[in-house]
Amino acid sequence: MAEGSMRLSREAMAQRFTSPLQALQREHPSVIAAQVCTSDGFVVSQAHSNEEAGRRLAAMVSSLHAVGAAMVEELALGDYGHLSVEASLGKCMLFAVPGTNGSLLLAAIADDSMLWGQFLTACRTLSDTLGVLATRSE
Amino acid sequence: MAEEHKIIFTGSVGAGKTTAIAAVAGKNMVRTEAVNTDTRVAKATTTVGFDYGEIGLPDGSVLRLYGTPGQRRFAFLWRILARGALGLVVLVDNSRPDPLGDLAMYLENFADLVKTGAVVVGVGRTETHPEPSLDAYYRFLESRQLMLPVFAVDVREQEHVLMMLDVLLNMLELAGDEEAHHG
Repeated sequence: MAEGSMRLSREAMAQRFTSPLQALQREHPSVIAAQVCTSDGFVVSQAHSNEEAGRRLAAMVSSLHAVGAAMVEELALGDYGHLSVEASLGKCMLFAVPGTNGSLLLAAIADDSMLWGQFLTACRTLSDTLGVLATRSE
Repeated sequence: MAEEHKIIFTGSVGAGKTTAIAAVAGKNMVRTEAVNTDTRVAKATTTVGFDYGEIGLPDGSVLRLYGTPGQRRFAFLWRILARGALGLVVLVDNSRPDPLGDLAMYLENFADLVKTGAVVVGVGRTETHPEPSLDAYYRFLESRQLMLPVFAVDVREQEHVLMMLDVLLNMLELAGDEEAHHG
């Protein structure tokens, strides 16, 4: 983990992240769920109330991120950025939170009414915000 | 004709699945490890996707080795990784509180593969934790109507991992011969 985020407990990180995650949902009603989890698959903070679904999502996000990062490395494509999944009823976006050495991941799920560009921009902006919050020392 | 065999390495966290594949597949293996934040587990990193390595056999066949994450929260991946697999290596850490319970959990989660494929069990850390004994493992498996080979292994040793794979391949070959004989 990055130096700043390593000093923070999971609870402290959760407090910092809840508000921006909720803001994403507030500003984009098409976003069904948003979550920050650790790279080994534990929920840090989430903007939806189903805890069981959140735990399952964190494990899947962790695996997908790891497989995506391994693929990028195998193909020598540089630094891993994000992973997107499109389905008939919605889409998912997975970001490594900047400044945390890939130890924190952002996952967001939107319904099919959300436009890709809008979703990508919103998630990237949120990811940058989370990166600042994760590495801020106070 | 050269064949490809998909083999799964599963087992408890810290049992040495990644180490076992690295011991035989070398530096070219693919790893998907993340920093471990679970304080109940004393290791720096943990596999969260899958490990992958290959071994070429003298007859041109290739063993494709997949290592699963150990934690139950990744059970969704176990099912995905098991698809198309012919063999299963279950690694058990004898220093854990309930190694036979661990073995039971993995055998249940890979029940389809246990039913149709070849399975071997490798028990680690037996030098420092001799109980349960290998006999206890055999009795435990017998109580579940399973006749599987059980080995005390140090997965850092390439020969130990190769021995398990060799037995697994022989079991697959025998099963193939029997199928041809009865088929």
